[in-house]
Amino acid sequence: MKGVIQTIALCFIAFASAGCVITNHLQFNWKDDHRRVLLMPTDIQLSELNAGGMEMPNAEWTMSAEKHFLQSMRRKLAQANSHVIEAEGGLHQPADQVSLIKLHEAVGISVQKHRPGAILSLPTKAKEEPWTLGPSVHKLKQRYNADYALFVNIRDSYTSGGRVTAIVVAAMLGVQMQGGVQRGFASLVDLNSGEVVWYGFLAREHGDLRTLEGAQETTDALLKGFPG
Amino acid sequence: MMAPFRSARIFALSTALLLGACQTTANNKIYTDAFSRGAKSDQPSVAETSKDTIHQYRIDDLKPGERPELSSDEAGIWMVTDKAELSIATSGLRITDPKLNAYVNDVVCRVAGDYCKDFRVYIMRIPQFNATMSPNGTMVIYSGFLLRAKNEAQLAAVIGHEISHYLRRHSAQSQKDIVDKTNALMFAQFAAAITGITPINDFAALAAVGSVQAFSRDHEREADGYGQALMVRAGYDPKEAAIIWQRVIREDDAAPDKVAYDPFLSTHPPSEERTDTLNKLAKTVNNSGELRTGETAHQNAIAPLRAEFLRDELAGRRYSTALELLDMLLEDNYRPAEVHYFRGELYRLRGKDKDAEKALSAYRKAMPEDDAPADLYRSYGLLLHRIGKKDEATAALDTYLEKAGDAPDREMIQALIEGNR
Repeated sequence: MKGVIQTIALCFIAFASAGCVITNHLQFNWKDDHRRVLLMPTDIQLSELNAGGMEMPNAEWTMSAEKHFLQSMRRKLAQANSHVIEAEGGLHQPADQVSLIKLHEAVGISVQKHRPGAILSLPTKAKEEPWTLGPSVHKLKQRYNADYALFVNIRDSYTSGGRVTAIVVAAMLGVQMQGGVQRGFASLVDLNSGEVVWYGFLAREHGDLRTLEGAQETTDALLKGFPG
Repeated sequence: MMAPFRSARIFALSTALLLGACQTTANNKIYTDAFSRGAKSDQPSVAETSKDTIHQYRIDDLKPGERPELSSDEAGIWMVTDKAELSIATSGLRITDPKLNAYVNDVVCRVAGDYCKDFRVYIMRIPQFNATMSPNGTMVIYSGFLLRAKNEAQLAAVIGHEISHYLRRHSAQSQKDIVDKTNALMFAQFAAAITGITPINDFAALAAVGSVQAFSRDHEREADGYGQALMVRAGYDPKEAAIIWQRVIREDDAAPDKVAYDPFLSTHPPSEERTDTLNKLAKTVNNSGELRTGETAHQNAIAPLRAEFLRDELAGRRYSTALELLDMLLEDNYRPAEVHYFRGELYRLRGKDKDAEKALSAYRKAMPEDDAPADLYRSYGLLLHRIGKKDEATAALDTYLEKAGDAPDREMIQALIEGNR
């Protein structure tokens, strides 16, 4: 019995420490004079986790997170000596751009799940194979005159008072319950080939995008190892 | 001995909860109340007046141009639907034909009145009877619905229903409802864990699912009643609201795999209940003389795209229901040649016993009409060719090439004709 508990405890520690930042190991360096980076409209959503485990999307938090995050990204990309071009957001963005953002969400999730070394790594991608958004990224290159595009997707949830109570009660019953989590991924895509040349992601139980300071910390964590 | 006694009590409690979940079925009062509120715009808002279960969250109607407070849960739902709208707006399924969009938008504005500017309408090429409304005013109209509606009044009835969901803020109400019930469920889980009686959790979960669905059905009833009142205010004949449901029932009944209505898990009330109630409500409207149906306007608006919509229906390969739909369209008697042609196409594609004969006979019915489509002769000729009637096939295919002008398959058909000679 003791052995079982120990195993569970070890698994839990392993799981908890896996909840830190993982960045990629793709070898990428800027080529001279090709540092025009298109910052795609960031797909961010902040929500509150209520007692029953439902995530309630929060518009106010999301709006300030978008603002803070954009500010932090500009700073971060300036540090990397890249020239930033911001893609148009909102309801009137071109259909091909919306499709690419959706495609990036799918590709980003599979990089996260199936990259070499991940729990669900694919035998056919045992070596570091390039992930790609395909040739349709050319349209972005033409439209914005950029060399690369940076796609970001973040989902961030915060524990409500009711959920805290539930977590405490559950803990007394010996059950560990999930609180708020921060998950995100970013990919730098070569607009000539469509290949993902750099990626980074986050999966952790802390981080706060609701303040500028927190957004800067999150950006640093997400873009850790971003080519300088 | 304690445990069985306690679990019996809990069982009884859960059963009561479960039955409570079903209690609201066939509540006609919701339709009539909603109808009378919708009929008068100067009525005080629902939150002040009503104490019904359906209004338990005391949420006022949305006012024209109103957006929810940024810090509210409802603003969160709007944010998510704003994002979803972006996907809909840029979807490949969207029909952008300007005339059809102008027609549908015009009907939406008539029914919506002061709320006209709150809606963005997207027509999607999906061969199903449906229309949806998002909490942020994104209205989606399926091509399958436009095809099935006989007239403008039927279109207005469904639009009125969808608009009612919006201004009565049903999504915000449902969200509150689901949150309340999932939170309560959490405590049922704790109770199950503390007492060690796991059925508590199971029954509570079942009861919660049932009551969330019952709440959803009541919203549909309210939207039916309110929507019908809106269509009357816009000058449409309310009898058509029931007729659209009769058409749905006819198609449902024709399905070989018809599923029995589930009174516990269904999100919508049964179509029969909706037809009956909408019929009764229509009879309470007096000035039926001035009310219009707008049949020609609707048929003309759909006409340029109808063949495409019908082809989509056949591609679904649900031949029994498609046949019933074509029967209804024949009864409507608008451009019957096109309908006969698609009846022929249905039989030709299905290819069961004697379907070839039925197809040929359907094509022949279309032939005398002036607006018989050129493609008809292609299908007719190919089918004759398949059953070995080569001379007749050649004649039909010749007619096709003559009528079709720049047919993309001209060379292929010519080769076939050469082979026959």
